[in-house]
Amino acid sequence: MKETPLSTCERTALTDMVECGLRHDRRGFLEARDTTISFGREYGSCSVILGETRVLAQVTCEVVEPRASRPSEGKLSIAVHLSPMAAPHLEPGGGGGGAEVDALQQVLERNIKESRCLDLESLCIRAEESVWQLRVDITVLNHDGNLCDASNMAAVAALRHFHRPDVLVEEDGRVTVLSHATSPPVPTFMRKVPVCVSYALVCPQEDKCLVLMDPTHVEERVMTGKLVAGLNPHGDITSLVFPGRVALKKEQIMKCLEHAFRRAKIIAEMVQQAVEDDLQTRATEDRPSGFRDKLVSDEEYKRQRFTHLMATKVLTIPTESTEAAVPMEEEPSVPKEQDPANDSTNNELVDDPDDLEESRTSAVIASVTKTSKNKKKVKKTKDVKMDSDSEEEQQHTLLTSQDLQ
Amino acid sequence: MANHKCELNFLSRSDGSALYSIGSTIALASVNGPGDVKQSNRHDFRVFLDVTYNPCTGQPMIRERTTESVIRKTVEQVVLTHLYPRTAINITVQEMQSDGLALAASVNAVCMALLNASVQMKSTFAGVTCCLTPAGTIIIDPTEAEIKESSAVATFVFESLAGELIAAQEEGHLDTDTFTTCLNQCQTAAKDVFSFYRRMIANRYQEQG
Amino acid sequence: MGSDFRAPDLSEGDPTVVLPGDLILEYDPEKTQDRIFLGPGLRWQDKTITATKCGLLRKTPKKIYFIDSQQKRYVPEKRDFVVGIILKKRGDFYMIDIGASMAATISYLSFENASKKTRTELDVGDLIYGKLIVANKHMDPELVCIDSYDRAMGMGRLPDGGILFTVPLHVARLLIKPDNPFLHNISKKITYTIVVGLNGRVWVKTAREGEMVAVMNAILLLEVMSMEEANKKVLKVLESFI
Repeated sequence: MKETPLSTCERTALTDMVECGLRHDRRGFLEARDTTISFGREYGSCSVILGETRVLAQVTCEVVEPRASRPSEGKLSIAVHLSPMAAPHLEPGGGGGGAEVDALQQVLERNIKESRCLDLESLCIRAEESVWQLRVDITVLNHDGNLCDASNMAAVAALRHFHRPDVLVEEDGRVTVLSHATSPPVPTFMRKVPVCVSYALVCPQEDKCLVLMDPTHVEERVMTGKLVAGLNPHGDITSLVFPGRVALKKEQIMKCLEHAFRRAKIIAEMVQQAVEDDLQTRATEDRPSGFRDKLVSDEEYKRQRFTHLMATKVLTIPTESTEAAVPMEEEPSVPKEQDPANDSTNNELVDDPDDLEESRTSAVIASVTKTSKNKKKVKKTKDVKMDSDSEEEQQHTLLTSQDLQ
Repeated sequence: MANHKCELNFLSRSDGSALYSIGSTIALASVNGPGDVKQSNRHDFRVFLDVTYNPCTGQPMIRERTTESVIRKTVEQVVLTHLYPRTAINITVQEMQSDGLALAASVNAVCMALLNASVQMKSTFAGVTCCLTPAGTIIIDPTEAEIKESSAVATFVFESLAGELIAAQEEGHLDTDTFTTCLNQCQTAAKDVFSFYRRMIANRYQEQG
Repeated sequence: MGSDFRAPDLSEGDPTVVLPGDLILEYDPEKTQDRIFLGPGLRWQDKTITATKCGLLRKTPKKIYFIDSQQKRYVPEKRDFVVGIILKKRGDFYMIDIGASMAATISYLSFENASKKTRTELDVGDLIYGKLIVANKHMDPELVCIDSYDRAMGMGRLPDGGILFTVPLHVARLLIKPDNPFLHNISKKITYTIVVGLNGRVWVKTAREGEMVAVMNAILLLEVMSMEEANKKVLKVLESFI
């Protein structure tokens, strides 16, 4: 089926609103949608819901011969499936999505496989003879934008949750896979938690570029470019994709990355916590029920979103498009109003669009007179924006931002 | 019947969708259409039905193709295909969690998703799985463990007008008499499924006034 | 076994919920002088009327029977007002996406005051509000932007600005119900212009961007809750935005 064409009206409405500091779902620019991670009955089966984007990941394993070039390493393969279920315009049968699937798969492979976050050597059974091959199947169930983040999160959570069966190696080299009943399964070892954070770049004017975190499907259709950063909370960047016809200022990218690292920390903790919680309840349960009763429909999600909307109120919304240039001072205090369940995702909302915007202009000034400071208001992240790599600095940033809130 | 559960309109981007669980088996079905269709698949007087079934693990194999064809044949008999000429209806089923009842759960999920998409149909349909234990008792809606122990397992799909059989899949040894008994028991069980459908739909529409 | 599955005959009071295959009425035009009309979701075969969709069975005093069902995908019906997106120009016609399986066409002459010399120029991506004059399953749908007296009556190209979003078809029908206070409730807070297409596309324009988002979210309420509930909550939602 063909995709519904994007009308000029939708395009201009979205860019105009973004220029005014508004998103269709009233999120802040650097605010992510609600995230839910749930696990199925089997080990390594995980569903991630990011707003209305839904992804299912399933890890399976089998014993195979290793590559001749790497005789003592296990194998890991990642496959992404997009079907008309995700969005009607995608072609049925595995190959749907074409370029989109390839791009996604590449990002995931770089983040999870090539970053070597997963210790492949631990998957070796007998060097040169048999190793484990892990296969992650990622199926997109509902495509409402930002598939990268959701798939990455699902894949990582599924891998961390996965337990492979124990094996018995006999003296003549034969390998017997033991069932879960006879001997306890072995967890997969993952050194780091790779995280993927995507930003949509919307340019209402030629020289103006606004950054939206966790874009929805409509935002992705309208955006001029995007920035997909694969990283982990330990301070490594594993991949960086920046397609589209946008020229971003260096400061803006640095700022995005800095924000991405903060987000990575939250996601990594969330994933780890979810996996641990599930494994713990699983140990006490006789027969885990899995997804049953755990999955919430999109309709229910929407209903909850409205309840949540009514409970909170945006303090200021610029009313005229001309006011967009004036920074919104109350914006960072929005998370306070929201219920604690969402705090984890909202707390990092430290800089608003104009902040980024402003940083660019102020950076220009700074290059002329290095000591010049922005006098309009206190900016928390400003002093560390140049050297965001060191972890200490990042923590400092987090602290100050919380203090200010 | 107590272990049947269904959520309608589960996916926001599909025209119709349903999550159907029987016990621990969970299937998610999505229906899109009637929409445009490629020239090569276009039928001048009826709809082009495309059914895809994805298992929870790995690539679809022969077993999945069989399930696909059972679903396709069921749907073809029930949907008023002549009302949508030169269009396509895509049905995608994703097995979320398996516990032996994948086919029955998928068939029921597809039916609910078609209802949710308001595709015009002659009747509704329901799948019921039963298995025969070595001792000779028939279990309706068995678990995977029970199926492994059993000597035969059969899934029947019934339509709701007269409760007639429209599709079936059977594995293992069943003599004619036992087969008839299985069929009758499943037919009775299907009645419960149909009344479950009615309850689900009634709740949904009465809620929305 | 058969009759167990069929719903009881319809009562005059509350609309009943029906499922495909439910028997609605025995009707033999040769035996009775009563003439009835069948709307969407009903089928007459072998002297009986059966339902083909699930939904609420409604009957109007003029003996029109139809099923009010929830649906997202649009199937064109004659005389429906729809909002379309211009896809391309082909000769004397524009191709328009109306969300159906086929693109609709509109002649450049089907606009108010249009003649061969003064033709209405439309660009790809423009929105158009029109009425379907040809819609059946075997033909490509055709739109017009004039009524039978050559007047626009509000139809034509939608002005620049505004916001477009999609709602399920039953929400669109609900919105344009004349006795529906919902849109009036919104207007207590915000002055706005709204165009509702029966294909589920809604276009809203207000003076300020923030208000457009507010109205959009208020209308999206109807997707997940009943009219009564939405009417109670609509002001709260609007307030949360402004």
